Amino acid sequence: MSAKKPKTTPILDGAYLVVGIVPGLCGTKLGMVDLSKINAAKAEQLLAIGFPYLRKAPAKAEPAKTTRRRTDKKDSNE
Amino acid sequence: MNLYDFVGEIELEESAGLQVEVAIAAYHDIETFPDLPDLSAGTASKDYVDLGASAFVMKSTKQFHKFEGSLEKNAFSSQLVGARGAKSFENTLTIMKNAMNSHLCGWLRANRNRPLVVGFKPLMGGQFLILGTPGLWAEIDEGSIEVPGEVAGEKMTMFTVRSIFYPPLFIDALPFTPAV
Repeated sequence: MSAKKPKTTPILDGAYLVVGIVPGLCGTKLGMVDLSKINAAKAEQLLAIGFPYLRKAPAKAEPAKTTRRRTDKKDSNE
Repeated sequence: MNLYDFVGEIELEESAGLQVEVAIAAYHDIETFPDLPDLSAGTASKDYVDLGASAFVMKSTKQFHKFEGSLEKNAFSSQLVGARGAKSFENTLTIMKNAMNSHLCGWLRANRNRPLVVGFKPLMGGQFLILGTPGLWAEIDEGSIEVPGEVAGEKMTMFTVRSIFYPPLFIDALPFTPAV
């Protein structure tokens, strides 16, 4: 049986994910940190010390390029 | 479990004293404990007590709570007890607040018999020290509320938290916000 996958909550415009807890106050090696109020620099500091309740969000996939011709516009010659 | 050198590693700001804020969780609010240090895998003495960046997984909506003591009043003692060759740890954290009010009396009433896991930090900061492990929770051992007659007397609410067998375990982080 696989372990239950922890729920995550995105912060900082989805760049980071808070793991298993509501974004809020945590005791860390850097002192008390409120995950709902940190900036990207603090998030990186926390990641650097291995803070277990935060991780970087996986990079979003680029939208697939398509060569399909748009068909929703009428031909101007019509 | 190997023997390693101790060559005087200390923190640059070593001192006595504990931070005033203590982290307290109900033992049964914890879904999963961090794995305890593996005695066969350590490569330094600290590996036998250091949980590092592992995490407490709390039950949904549950968390560690803060208890703010008074400055220079919280204290910790860990003693080796038992017969030679069968020594074990007995840990005692004393938490004291120089006050007596309904919040403190209510806290003692609600938690005096509750299995607990408690974390605290030395003044130099860094990691939390944890009392209470799977199957061996910490408990309130003694408590008292004192209101002396003289105004110069030490008015206080005090309790001690006791855990056994393991030394205090070190961990990087504790959540003071509910689990989801």
